[in-house]
Amino acid sequence: MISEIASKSGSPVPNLDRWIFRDREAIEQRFGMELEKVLEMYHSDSGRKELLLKMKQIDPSLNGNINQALETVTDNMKELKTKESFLMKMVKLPIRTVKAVANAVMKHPVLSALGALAVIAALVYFFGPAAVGTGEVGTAAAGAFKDTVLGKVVVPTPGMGVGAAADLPVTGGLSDVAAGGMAESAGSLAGESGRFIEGARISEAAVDSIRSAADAIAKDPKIRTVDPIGTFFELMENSSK
Amino acid sequence: MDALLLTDDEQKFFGSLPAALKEEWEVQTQIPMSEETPSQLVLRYKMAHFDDPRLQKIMKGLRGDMSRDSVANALRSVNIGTLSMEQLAELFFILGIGVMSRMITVLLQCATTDDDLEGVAGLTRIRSALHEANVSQSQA
Repeated sequence: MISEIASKSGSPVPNLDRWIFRDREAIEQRFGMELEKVLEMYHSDSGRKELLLKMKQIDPSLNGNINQALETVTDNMKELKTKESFLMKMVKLPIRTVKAVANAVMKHPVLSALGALAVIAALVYFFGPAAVGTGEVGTAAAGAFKDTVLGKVVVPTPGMGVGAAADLPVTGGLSDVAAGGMAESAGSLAGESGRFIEGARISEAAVDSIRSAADAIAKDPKIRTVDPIGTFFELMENSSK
Repeated sequence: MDALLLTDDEQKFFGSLPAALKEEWEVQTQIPMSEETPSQLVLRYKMAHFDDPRLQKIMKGLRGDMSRDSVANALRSVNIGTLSMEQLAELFFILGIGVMSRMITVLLQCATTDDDLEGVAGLTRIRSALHEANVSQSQA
């Protein structure tokens, strides 16, 4: 979907996200073999060469990014296997366990808000108009986020640990990253690789934003009131003044 | 009643709950868990599949207006607790160990009833399942 958006926007940015798959079937269809076989090939020199050749045939626009694309798709396969393992474990849990979690979340809106924040970020950042690496569309959407909750929570700069981010005052946001420091730091990187790295950093910043929001909620009891979402926004606004 | 699988820090929050609330509960120690890296979580977000019609509808509404009020209203209109088990599993997978742990901390701080602790127990079970899945793949 991300690449479709990029295509509709007229952006020429080749998107390595074309090599990220939601499920096993999609990967197996693309490579014409079982996921385990692809992983096995990745671990041998001759297998890697064969995979690179196949990917180049499928997507000639990869060019200089082909090794990066192979790393991406390999990480993707590992995460898919982790997901499969997790889903199997979830299915085996007693129904009352999942129900107890659902009831607790329904009773405490702040927990639901946190989950909802992640879902909306997932939908907006990674499947919607703010999907990174989509040139003008991504930049415009990052700007649109300036006044939202994700634009108000702290975003770590490259190289800063997640723990350090939690200690910073809540300010700035993704739009600042896109417009300022991030663009500058990525500016020296030439061409497609540079855009890919910039996009990846903004994506990671989005993930860290959610973690920061969780930290804020865990640390400040004021957020857990009658209207946790409203209070959360107010706190974010006050701290950025 | 499930046991509570709590880290050392979480056990401190549990320890400060009223004695009457704690008495029926067995606490087991959760071994230290590594949080997923940001790049791992980004991949998970990109793989996520939220097909609940309510979420899709909210998303469509946000496309034209991502102002503070509209995002706040969208957040208020979703109650994650009403999602299906499949969608909850998608959610916990993208939240990862880190955010789930913060949710557990928040719930322990808010807990006033056995139902709340049932919720904590459930969350710790799910977190443990995610941790095991993470470890099994990192060792593969």
